[in-house]
Parts: sequence; C-alpha cells; structure tokens
Amino acid sequence: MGGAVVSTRPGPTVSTAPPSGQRESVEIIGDGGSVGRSVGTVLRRFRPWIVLGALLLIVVIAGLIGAPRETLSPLSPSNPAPEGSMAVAEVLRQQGVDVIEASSLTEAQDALAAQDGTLLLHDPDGWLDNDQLSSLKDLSARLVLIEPGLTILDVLAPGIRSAGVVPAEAAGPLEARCSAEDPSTAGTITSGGQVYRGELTCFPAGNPEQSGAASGSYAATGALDVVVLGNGAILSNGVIEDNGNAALVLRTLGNSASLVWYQPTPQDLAVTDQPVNPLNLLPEFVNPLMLWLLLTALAAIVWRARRLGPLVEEPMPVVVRAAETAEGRARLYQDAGSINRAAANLRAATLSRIALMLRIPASSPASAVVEAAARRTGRSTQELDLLLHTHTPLSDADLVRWSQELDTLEKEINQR
Amino acid sequence: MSITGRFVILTLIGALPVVLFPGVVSILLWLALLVLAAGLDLILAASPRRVGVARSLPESVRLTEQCTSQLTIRNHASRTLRAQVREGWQPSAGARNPVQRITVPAGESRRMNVVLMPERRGDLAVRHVTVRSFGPLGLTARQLTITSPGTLRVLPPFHSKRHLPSKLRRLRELDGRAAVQIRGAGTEFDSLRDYVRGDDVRSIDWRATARRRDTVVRTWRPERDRRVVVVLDTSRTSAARIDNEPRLDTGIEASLLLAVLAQRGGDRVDFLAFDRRPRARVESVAKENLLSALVTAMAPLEAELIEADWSQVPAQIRSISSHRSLVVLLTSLDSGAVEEGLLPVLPGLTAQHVVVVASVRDPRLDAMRLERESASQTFRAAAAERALLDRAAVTARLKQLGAEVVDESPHELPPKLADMYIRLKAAGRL
Repeated sequence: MGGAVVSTRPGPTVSTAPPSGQRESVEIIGDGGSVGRSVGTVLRRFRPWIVLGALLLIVVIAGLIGAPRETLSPLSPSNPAPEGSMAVAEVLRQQGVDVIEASSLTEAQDALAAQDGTLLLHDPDGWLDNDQLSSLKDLSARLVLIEPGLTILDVLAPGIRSAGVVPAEAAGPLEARCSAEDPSTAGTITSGGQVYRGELTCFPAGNPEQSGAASGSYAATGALDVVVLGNGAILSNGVIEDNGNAALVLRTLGNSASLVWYQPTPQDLAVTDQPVNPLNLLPEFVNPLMLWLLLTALAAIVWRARRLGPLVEEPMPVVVRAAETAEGRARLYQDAGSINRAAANLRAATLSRIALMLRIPASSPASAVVEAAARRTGRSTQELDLLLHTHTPLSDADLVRWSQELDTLEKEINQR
Repeated sequence: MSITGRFVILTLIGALPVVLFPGVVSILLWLALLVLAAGLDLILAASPRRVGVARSLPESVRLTEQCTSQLTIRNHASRTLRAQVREGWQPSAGARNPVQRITVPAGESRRMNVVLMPERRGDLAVRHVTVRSFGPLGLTARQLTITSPGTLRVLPPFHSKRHLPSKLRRLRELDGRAAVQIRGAGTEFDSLRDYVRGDDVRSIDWRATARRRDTVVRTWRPERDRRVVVVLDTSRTSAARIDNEPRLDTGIEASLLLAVLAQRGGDRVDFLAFDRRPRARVESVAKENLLSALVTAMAPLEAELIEADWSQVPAQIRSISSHRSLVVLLTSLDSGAVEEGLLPVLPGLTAQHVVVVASVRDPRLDAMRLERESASQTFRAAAAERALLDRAAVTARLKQLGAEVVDESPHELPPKLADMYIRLKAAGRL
C-alpha cells in the first residue's frame, strides 16, 4: 500500500516495449449501478444467512415470550404447572387474602413485619439454619409448615414430631378422624408425603384402629398457631380438586388477612457458612467491558475480513512430469516382482551401448558383443558371458548387485 | 462499504467510558456516537460511482521483462477522493504494487503505475479496478468494483537467441566457399573471381580464364529461397514438463531460433502449431516482421489435452508449400504416440520433403538409469532403460523412413536443431 506512485506526470518508463505499443482503453465511470442496487446485491448474496439469522432471532424471541416469568419450582404460587400452586394462591387472592410471595428471607421478614399474617414455609432442602428460622418464629403470628424437616420442627414447632412417611399400604384417601374444625370439614385428603405427631393429629395414615396415638398428615399445636401439612402435594394444581384437599388448604391458609408464601432458595444460605462466590468480588464494570470488547472484536473482524475487490482466478496450466510414466512402470515391476523383465531391460540396454562403444553393429548377437568386450577389457570370455548373457538374477539383492556389475563393466569399456 | 482500523480503535477507546460508568447508558451512548460518526463519514466520502478509470497497457511484453500498467483515475465527484485503489490482475501477472493509496481533488485526475513482472507466457487478464473511497474522518469507506477488463500479451522469452550469433557466423561461412567443399545439387553458381593460391584447381572456369589474362575460379553460394516449414505439436504430449519447462515451450524456443536463422539464411519460413486443428499459423511475410509475428502467434499457445491428428498434417503442409521444403516436426518420441500417429504419414512426407523430427529428451531418464543403489532404484533404472530403448527403436524407425532426428535435452535442442539446419543447407539437401 505504501510507496504509491501517484503523479500527474508520467514517471520514468520501465517497460522495454516500444512506447508506440501502448494501448489506451476508454474511460469507464462507475459500474452503472446505484447504492440501492448494490445493497440489493449484498442482500441477495447473503440471503441464506439473513434468513437463518432471522429464524434464530424468532426462535429466541418466541422462547423468551413463551417462557414463564417466574420460577418453576413446585408449590410456587406463580407456577401454573400441575406441581405448582397458582390455583390456591389465586383463589386466596380472590377471597381477599393478601398473598405475598417472598423470594428471600429478607423479603419474608419485611412482609411479616409489615402485616402480622400467616407464614407458609416450604423448605424441603433445608436451606435455612436455626437462627434464621427463629427470626421467622418471632415475626409470624401463625405458621403453616409444609413437609418440614427435623430442624424446622425443632425451632418452630417443638411440640410436633416427625413420624416418618405415609405407609405404602395407605393408598386411598385419608380420613380426618379428629375433632379440629378444618380437617373435619375437609373430610378426606389425598394420601402421601410425611406424617407427624402433635398435640392435634389428623388424617392418620395406616390402620384406622390405631387412631389414638397415630401419626397423621395434619398436625398442629393446641392453639392452632403452628400447623404442619405432611403432604405438600395437596396444595398443587394437579390434585387440589381431589377429595377435601381444597377445603383443608384454603381453610388453613386463608385464616388471616395476609399470607406470606416463602420458599427458601440457596441464596438464603447463611453467609458465614459458605465460601464467597468469586464472581461477586469482580468490579461492577467487568460484564459491560466484556460485552464492549466483544463488540470491538467484531469490528476488528469486519475491518480485516473486507476484501479489496473480488478474487481474480488464475487459469492453471496442466502439469505432467515426463518421467512419470517410467516411474510408474518401475513401481509396476517392483510390485509384480518381475525381476526377469527388469533384468532383460538392463541387459538389452547394456548390450546395445557396449556394441555402440565397441563399434560393432547393434544388431549383432550377444556372443559377438561378449567376445569383443573380452578382447577390449582383458577379462575372460566365460566371465563376461555369464555376466552379459547367461546370468539371470533371482532375487532383488541379486538384481541390484548384477546391475551394478553391468554398470562397472560399461564404465571400464568406456575408459579404455 | 467497509470500516477502517481507525474505526476499530475508536471502538476500543469506548471501553474507557464503559469502565468508568458501567451500565447500559454508556454503551448505548458510545454506540450511537460510533454509528453517527460512521454514517457521517460515509455520507461525506466521495462517491466511487463518479470515478472514471482508464488503463494504458503495452501491446505486449516479453517474459522475464517488466512493464507498467498505467491507470488514470478521474474524479467526477464534487468532493476530494481519498481512496485505496486495487487493480485486479491475475496472480501470474506478478503485479508488484496492485494496491495503492491515491488522492484526487474534485474534477482532476491522477495516474497510478502498477509494475508488472509476468511469470507466465500467454494472455494475462486484468478483470476490474476496485476503488475504496474513504470519508474525511477516515473511519469508513465506500467500496466499488469497476469492471474494466484488459489483456497483456506476454511473449515467449526467446532465451535461445544467445545462440544466434555463433550460428549465423557458421551460416555465413558457407557463403563463398570453394565449390568442391560444398558441391552438391543444391549449390548455386555465385560469381567469378581471380584465382588465389589454395583454391581447388577443379573450380577454375577455363572459359572465363581463356577470355581473360588471369586465371578465374567459379565461386558458389548455398541455395537460397528454399522453404522451411516448422510444425509445432500442441497435443497432449507437449504438456509434459522436462526440467521444469513444458515441451511446448522448448519447442517454441527451438522454432524461434530456427526461424530467425533460416530467415537470415535467405529461406522462407512458415510456422504452424497443430494438434487436431491449426492453433497458430504464420506465413512467410515481409522479412522484418517475421520474429514479432512469430512470437505474437506463439504467445497464447497452450498444450491441448487431446491426441494429435497426424493424418491431417501432410494436407496442412501442402497448403503452405507445394514445393519441396524442409519440414521440421517438433513433437515427442514417445513410442505409443509416434507409432500410431506420425509413422504412418511419414513416408508420404519424406517422399516430397526433407523431414526433421525434433524432440526433447528427458535428462531425468538418463539420471534414473545410472542410480542402482537399492532394489527400487534398480527397478527404476530398468524402467528408464526400457523407455530409452523404446525411444531408440522409434528413432531408428524414423531414420529408416528417411527422416532426420534431433533428440536432445531442453537446453541443447534449439542449438542442435539449428546445427541440423546448417548441415542440411551445407549439404545442399534443402
């Protein structure tokens, strides 16, 4: 690009052609097109890629629109799937209950502090530790625990004990079998999940005869300020309409003016117990900077990739190496192991050259050549007859040795 | 359109505000700045559609010599054109500086010289001129490819002309020799001159001596105005490369040397390149133009991948010359091709003309013949011997049919063919 020869005067001519031989072509202005037309050409050329990109974009946008905005965790009040609990939450809202979905411990605490309502806690993975749980206990007037673990029971409901899972034989719906108002109104609920034993135990699982000390799907303290629901599935959209599930759930949850629906997540883990996420330590500008550098790299690619005009093709000449046929024939000899044929070629060529050197007719028989060669070199006729006439090599090694001897003889005759 | 390195740097500088004020706003603002600057630059760039391109090319150039393609860039736009211009030569044209930066004020024109060093004989093509017009900020450019075809004819190099002086000297030595040394059917009576010591007494013209007081001898000169027809085979066998040069190119060198020599020797030279149909033909025209006519005709010759049709050659030669001529066939001596093609028609040719068959001999075969160290080398030596024996057999058949054969390596063929011509001329066989 540098060293441009730009001048209005003709520079020193380097051509050895006579100046009269210059041919001047007529001036050509532009390509007869327009901006619009070249844009059209580019669009046409890249049409497959543009179509592909557009399809990709449509798929991505459709995916974004179609995807639920909220988490898909089970028993989430915004999950419309069969395992979600949107139905319960919506019905409660219609009935005037203020359902607040808390996504973190702080949110739950704030909501409880603002309105003294019921707290629904569903923490199957046990993300919360003792301190966090006890902070909730102080704030909430009424607790509904869904399938609580040992830790939760210890802190929030010391009077209620876990009693294992619902036995497999209890397949049918469970009956209330207790005097409390909510369960007895509900009558029956779907069986499953865990069983608990508390001051008030309903929906006993297993043999109806052992109802006295039985453990059940519903347990509560005497004051009903802590209620444990052993089967979380009865809240789900899928089975809420079965048996008395809806009655039990709505009565249990719709008791107070507001309901804080809290499902702890890994982000609620106590900070002190966990190693710090290194990504959180990065400065704030890192992500935007990465994006910007990506853009810069794209620009650099576009800059370097744009070619200065189309390629010009070179009509390539045919390249045939003349000795190729001889080399091919040599490989054929070798692969077929035709030592005889190779030996015959070498012998004939040597004989004809020796005959030429000794000035005897090329058509003369081999014996004549042998005699003449013996006279010239002083070697014995028998030796030369064996070498030039009768010897037939049988192996590759023999062929090599014999052909070298022929060559030596030829040089010997040539030198004398 | 295209963007420049400056645009990329400006984008990179944008990382600074992104770091200082992280967030969407700084990114969007800098993006907007970039787009605005690029758009403005594009709008302000001189339109490459208003650029006129004219090219001035030499008529022809000899291979290994340098020439210049002069491009005149005229700016018909109302803004100054700052552009990068590329002339689209095919790679073997050897353009040294096809991409140049150029600034042309509005309404003016500038010349751009592209130095070419062709690497191949033949017609080399230039297809287009690409103009990339930068805006005043140098951030973006408008690019346009203007179709502006042109061809440069690259002539064969005629390396063998270095043999010309020595061969011409030998040719001149034939002139004025005493008759006995070169007496033959073809020599012509030239003039009478005084006897000097050393002249053959048999060349004394006794009649003239009787008329004058001094002894007078006759002098002779070689026959003149004979016809030489050079037939160059462009069939598939001419594509073979020997010593990294196609047979065709060696044949061109040999026929150029022969043609120039024969023309200086006073003979008429015709040239024919032939495979299944005539590819090039040069008639014996005005003497000064012969060489340039020959090289121009030979320049675009390429080896065709078809078998030569030798049965048409006698008719072609007859259409060139109906008299007895020296017919030089530049072909190959590969046994198969010659036996089926040339041998059947050769008797008809030798009956009327003096025929010389010239062919390139592959030095590689001679080297292969002598390498006998390992088994595979020995087999190669055997194969090379077979090829050489076949060649010798073909040569013997050709000589039997009355043709002269010149079979030499690529460097030796042109001078040896010239020697053959001189020998035939000296012997008066033309």
